[in-house]
Amino acid sequence: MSVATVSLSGVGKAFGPATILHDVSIEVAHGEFVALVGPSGSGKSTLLRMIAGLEEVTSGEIRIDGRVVNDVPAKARDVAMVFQNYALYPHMTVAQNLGFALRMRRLPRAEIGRRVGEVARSLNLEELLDRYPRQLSGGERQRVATGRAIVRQPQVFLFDEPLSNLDAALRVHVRAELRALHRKVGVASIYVTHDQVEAMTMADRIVVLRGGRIEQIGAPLDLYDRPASIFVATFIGSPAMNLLSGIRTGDTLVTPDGVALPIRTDCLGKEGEPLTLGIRPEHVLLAADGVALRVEAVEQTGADTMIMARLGAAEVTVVRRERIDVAPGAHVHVQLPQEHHHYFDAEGRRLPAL
Amino acid sequence: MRPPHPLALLRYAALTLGALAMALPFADMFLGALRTPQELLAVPQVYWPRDPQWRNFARVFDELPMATWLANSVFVTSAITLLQLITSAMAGYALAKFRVPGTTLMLRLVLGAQMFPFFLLIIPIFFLLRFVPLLGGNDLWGQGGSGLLGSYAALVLPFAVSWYGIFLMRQFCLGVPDEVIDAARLDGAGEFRIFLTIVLPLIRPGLATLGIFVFVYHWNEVIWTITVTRGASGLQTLPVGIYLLRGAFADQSTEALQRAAICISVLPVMLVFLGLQRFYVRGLTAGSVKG
Repeated sequence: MSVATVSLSGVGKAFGPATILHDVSIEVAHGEFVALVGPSGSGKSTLLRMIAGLEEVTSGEIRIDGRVVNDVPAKARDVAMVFQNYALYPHMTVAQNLGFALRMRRLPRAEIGRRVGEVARSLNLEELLDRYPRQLSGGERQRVATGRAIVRQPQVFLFDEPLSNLDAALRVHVRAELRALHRKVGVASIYVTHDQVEAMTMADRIVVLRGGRIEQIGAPLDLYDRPASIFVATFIGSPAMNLLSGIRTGDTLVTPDGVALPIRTDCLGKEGEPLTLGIRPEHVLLAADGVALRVEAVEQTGADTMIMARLGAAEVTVVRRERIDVAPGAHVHVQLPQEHHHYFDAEGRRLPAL
Repeated sequence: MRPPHPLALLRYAALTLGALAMALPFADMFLGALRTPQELLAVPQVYWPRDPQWRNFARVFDELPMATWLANSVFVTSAITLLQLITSAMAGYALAKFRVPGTTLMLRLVLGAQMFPFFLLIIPIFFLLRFVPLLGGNDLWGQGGSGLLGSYAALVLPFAVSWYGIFLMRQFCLGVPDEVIDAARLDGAGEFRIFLTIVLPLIRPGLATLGIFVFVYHWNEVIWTITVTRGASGLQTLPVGIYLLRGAFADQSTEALQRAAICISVLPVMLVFLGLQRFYVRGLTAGSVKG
């Protein structure tokens, strides 16, 4: 791999006594699309703003294209950003918005016009060039914001939850557009979102942040298949992974309600110690016998049936791609196939299978 | 056509009354400017001039230093307005958007300044101008000359900065979204360019509002101007000139001239207001709706 376009090593951020990012190290390769996900307060937006040069770096190093940029002002970093609320210049037309960065670089007028026209064509903004931002719909503003970033041909794109102000249907559409655009432009992109579906569908790699620390970095399906912690296991995937806690007793996990669930013999959990078994909703099988669950609610989406049930105090969700006729209050029996088990220790860290 | 709603009629009636209350004194003044001296002295006084003396407006320029007064007023008021707009916008932007140590303290000082009415400052500022070193014939210790007294600087400089302007502009700058400023930074704009190309256009309604306030206030300012132009009649402004006229002529024969001068003195303010009212109205309502 060539030199990473963006490289963070040991980056930390403190606001006064409050440390909100600890020792974050990430490498983003040329052309890679990396999503930063995490709940609010996990520091993902702050991290993005630090890469942009809008926040100072307390510790560690940020490099862009090999150059340390800790003390380089935002305007000299060759980084473009799409903001959550788009941050279009309200007093400028779409064309002026798109051309602002080029005017700042004192490009010749003809060149500015050519590049603005090119971007407007590729984003379907040609009809809107003379409009002001207040005359645009949410989706159109989003496209202008994206266009303003593209027109500069920067080394890095930063996205700060660019789709969160769009309605659901539009979001899916723009998501696909942004993906296609990234494939075409091929510029390293860092994308902040709290929506794991967005991260899963768009990113080459996902960085999960929690409380200012990296919880896990990996390809979307790796995170899905081998979550490093209970946090990642429940954050990635919807509905979330089922978690059944108990004490390891021989080759079973005994829940607080006294149910013994068989576990794999190669599970590394220690005898007599707390253990959590995780299993994704779609891996739970309905069967004639097995663990008995009490059904609490049933949701039919047409294609899927989602059964929310309880095993003692623990909630278990089952998703099957079929129509299942079951009423709340009834009991169902399920099998938890061992090849789909995930095991976590008392601290919530993944226990590797032997 | 539908008959107007009774409530709408009431509203128009109230507005008409208000408009009349505002316009009548002006109309009265205007009529007064057209009377002949005989009409003024007649008993009972003639209210509607039978022979409107339009020449009174020209005589004002012939017989009084009206042109000088007008030029002084326009120059001094414009200079003060321009300076205040510049200093207020810059300081207001800094106080609104830059987090540097001491910002809060400075804001408190700005607001604290309002506790001192200008009349309290007349004497100290007078002495500051009088004893300023090396200017107006003064030596290094501020002795020997008259300092800046009797100069345009004395009329303009004390009003170059105002706490009110700074505070008003800060409020308008707070309304400029941080993300827009950040976006400009990423787009390669330096801080001063952001101020010029992003912040100033966005606070234009505020600038227009402040501009009108300052222009009207200083156009009518009398006390300070009288204080520092004593012995420098070439610097007198329109309101001061008119004010001094009252004392200069005890008889009422020149009342028509005075009234004509007053009519003329109102014109520039009206022009400024008409030119800026579009922004002014927007400025007063800005912030009431989330833009």
